[in-house]
Amino acid sequence: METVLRVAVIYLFILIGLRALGKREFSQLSPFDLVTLLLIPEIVSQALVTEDFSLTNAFIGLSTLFMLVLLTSVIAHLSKGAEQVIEGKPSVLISQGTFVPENMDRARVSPDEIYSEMHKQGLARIEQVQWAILEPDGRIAFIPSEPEDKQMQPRKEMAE
Amino acid sequence: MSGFKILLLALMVLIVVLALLGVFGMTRGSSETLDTTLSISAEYPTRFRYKTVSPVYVWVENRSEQLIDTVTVSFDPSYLDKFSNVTFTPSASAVWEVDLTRVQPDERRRVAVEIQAEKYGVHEGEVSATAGLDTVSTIMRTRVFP
Repeated sequence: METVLRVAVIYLFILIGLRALGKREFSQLSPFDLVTLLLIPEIVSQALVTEDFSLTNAFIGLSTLFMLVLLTSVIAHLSKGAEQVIEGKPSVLISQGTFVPENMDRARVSPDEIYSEMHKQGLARIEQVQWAILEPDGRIAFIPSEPEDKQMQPRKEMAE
Repeated sequence: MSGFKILLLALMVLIVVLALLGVFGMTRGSSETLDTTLSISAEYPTRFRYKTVSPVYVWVENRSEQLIDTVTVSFDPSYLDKFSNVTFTPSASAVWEVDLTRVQPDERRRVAVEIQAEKYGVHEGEVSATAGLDTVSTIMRTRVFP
């Protein structure tokens, strides 16, 4: 029982900590991926080198972790509110060719970082960007400017 | 979701639920045998996990009215052989044996054995106390999880 509780507490702590830190530090991986990747070797290494060497303990720990990941995924899928709490919301960094400084400050993203990501997408000037959105997994998605009759609108629930 | 995946998920849920219910946790048990001259009681782990350490306690009591010069406490080799890092307190006088000397009437003495789980499975063995022609014994049974 102790193993189940310890894994659950550590899982929640890491998940909350990753959410508190924000998206940029963990670009390319969602918080779920990171929690899982961070905890699996930790649990297995306990069985190998620390006090409880048993496979039983490792299986209990891993089963608990997988169940928590599945449960979190199901809850996030079923509840929009829960999804926003667990995964976070996208943030708009550029709107209609102009930086959104409040969101950039909140996400701790500098203009240079945005320009760097733009260049990777083949975009030279900020005027070419209609929307730049910081996704929950830390990546920045760029929506290039379209001719006026084809301009898109972001989803209303994104932070502006 | 395929049947195989459902089965795996169900197995993992089962492992977690059983762990929460303490099915895989360490437990201890005891056993006792009384005689007119001697009594022996043992407290031992009934369930623990590979490479974890747990003590076995054996109490021997002189139920007679005479001083007993030596009580020899013997452990079944087939039981203790399944464990590693076996340490006796007081020290063993022979392989898997401890001598308790000058046991007074109504006196109770303890032998402690620290064992580390090594081989998986259920291990059963006897611990006995012998004073002259009198012998009492009791059974210990321990399950070791991998």
